[in-house]
Amino acid sequence: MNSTRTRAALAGCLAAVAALAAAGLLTGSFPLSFSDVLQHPGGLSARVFWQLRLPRTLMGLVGGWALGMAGGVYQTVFANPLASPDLTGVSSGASLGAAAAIVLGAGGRLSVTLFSFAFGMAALAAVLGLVGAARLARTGSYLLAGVIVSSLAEAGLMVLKTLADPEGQLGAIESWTMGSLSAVTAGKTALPALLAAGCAALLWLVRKPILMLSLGEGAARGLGLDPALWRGGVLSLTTLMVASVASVCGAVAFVGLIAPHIAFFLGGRRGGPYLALCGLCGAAVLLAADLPARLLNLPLSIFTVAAAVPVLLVLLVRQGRGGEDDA
Amino acid sequence: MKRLSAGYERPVVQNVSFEIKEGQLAAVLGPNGAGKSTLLNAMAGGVRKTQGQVLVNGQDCLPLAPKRRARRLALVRQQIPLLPGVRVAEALEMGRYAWDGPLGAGPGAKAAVAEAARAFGLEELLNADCAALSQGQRQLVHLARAMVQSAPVLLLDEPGSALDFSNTHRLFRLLGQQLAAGGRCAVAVLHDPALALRYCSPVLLLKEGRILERLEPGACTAPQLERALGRLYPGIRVKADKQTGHFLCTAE
Repeated sequence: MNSTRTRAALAGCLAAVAALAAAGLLTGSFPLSFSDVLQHPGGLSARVFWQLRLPRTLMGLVGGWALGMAGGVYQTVFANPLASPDLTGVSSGASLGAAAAIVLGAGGRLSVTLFSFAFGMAALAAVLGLVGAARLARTGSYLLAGVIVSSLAEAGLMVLKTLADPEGQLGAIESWTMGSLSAVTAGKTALPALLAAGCAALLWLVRKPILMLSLGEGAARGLGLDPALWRGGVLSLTTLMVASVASVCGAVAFVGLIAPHIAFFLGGRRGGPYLALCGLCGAAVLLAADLPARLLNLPLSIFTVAAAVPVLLVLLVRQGRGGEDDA
Repeated sequence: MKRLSAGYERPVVQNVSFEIKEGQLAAVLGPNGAGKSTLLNAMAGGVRKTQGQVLVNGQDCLPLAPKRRARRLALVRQQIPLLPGVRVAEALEMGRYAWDGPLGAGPGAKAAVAEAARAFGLEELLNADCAALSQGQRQLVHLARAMVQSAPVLLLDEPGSALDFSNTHRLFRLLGQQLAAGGRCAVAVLHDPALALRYCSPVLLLKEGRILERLEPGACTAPQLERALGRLYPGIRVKADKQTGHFLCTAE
């Protein structure tokens, strides 16, 4: 493990994200080229570029970064390679919140954001509460509690689907739970993207306490950290970041789980620029998944799940060979 | 420490008082379940106390915020997980957290890390992944991090437990050198009475959460030590080595 490897990983990921973003700007049902956009600023190509393609690509970039970084934070804080917003109840809670906002008729962008955030936070609080009540603050306990809370949220989601208007609301819920960037426009992107970028910047500033939380509660406290306060604060910020992305993209599966594994495989580090590398890997996965999603007009999660399978298989094989500790 | 009582559902540590001075390495000996680790954790504020104080230079540390408490007491636990991918230098820098300002590490951080790495022979390993280290090297990393923390009191939970015979003695000699340099003292929970009698003074005998006796091995004879330690470990035999004068312990 050396700095050269980490720098090479950062440069490679940056180049991959730039290439995928450029490909995304040029990919879609309407054919356009950069020269069209520049030569005819008021033309149809320019309008499609500025109002649809660029916002969609930027949201893919910010959303992927946020989900990847969130996964890195979760896996570090819980010291568990399987922790992610998907498996700790937060994504299911956020989905339930978005569905509630849609069924209650408050399906505007802000209310879906607020509901998904509030329900995501409630799911997180329930997980922390269950672990506290069981007095067993082991990492496996968090995941087990996450499965319980996820199952409850899924049950609630099913209830809301049966109550939803099949003409409009049901489709909106289904579309939300499978994730998509197809409805992204310039107006819809600004606030959630700024919110996610702000959360990501704050999490980057506190990367040292985040890494210290991986030592466990007692050791972290011995070093001067208030573990309950920091864990609560960091996870709340992460949940806000995930919920703000989800309010635009819906629930995009597995990006938060696989991006940290790709980042660790490439960079070989959990400290230093690890969280930034997680963000870059998340952005690359999401932008790559959005290319076939645009061309085939299918939900994003189909392609992110397809990308996750080989990554998880490699993880399984590496763990079998003792390549990476099951922390 | 004054009249400390602490525990979980029921009190584990009861009315414990003792005092140690700068430069001293105190040992806490006791059978399994005596409350040794709970005592250390309670001193570090990790276990709910029902009464008592932990005074460092006259100030009670228990009511302090974790960051201020960590500037006075550094705890090294038995098992500390280290994620793969954390470098030794990063693990040591965590020890400076209590002294970090809102904008990150202060000016003394690099020097403190370099000094601790030199003292524990970790200079060549600063860029190594902690997961690639042996158990013994990891233990040295945790001890070096406690040094980086620059607290006047070190609380060590079985510091030699993962080390082989030679490295255990090397570790205690290193600890002794660090403490002799001044400004610090340490309390170590130990299982091996011979190790405690060789390197530590005072030696505190803990049973059922209470201090039975405080020994100063240098001022005791082998029969006196045997009688005292027999209250914890029935059948123990203590002899003084004729050449070195070190006490040797055997079971009956």
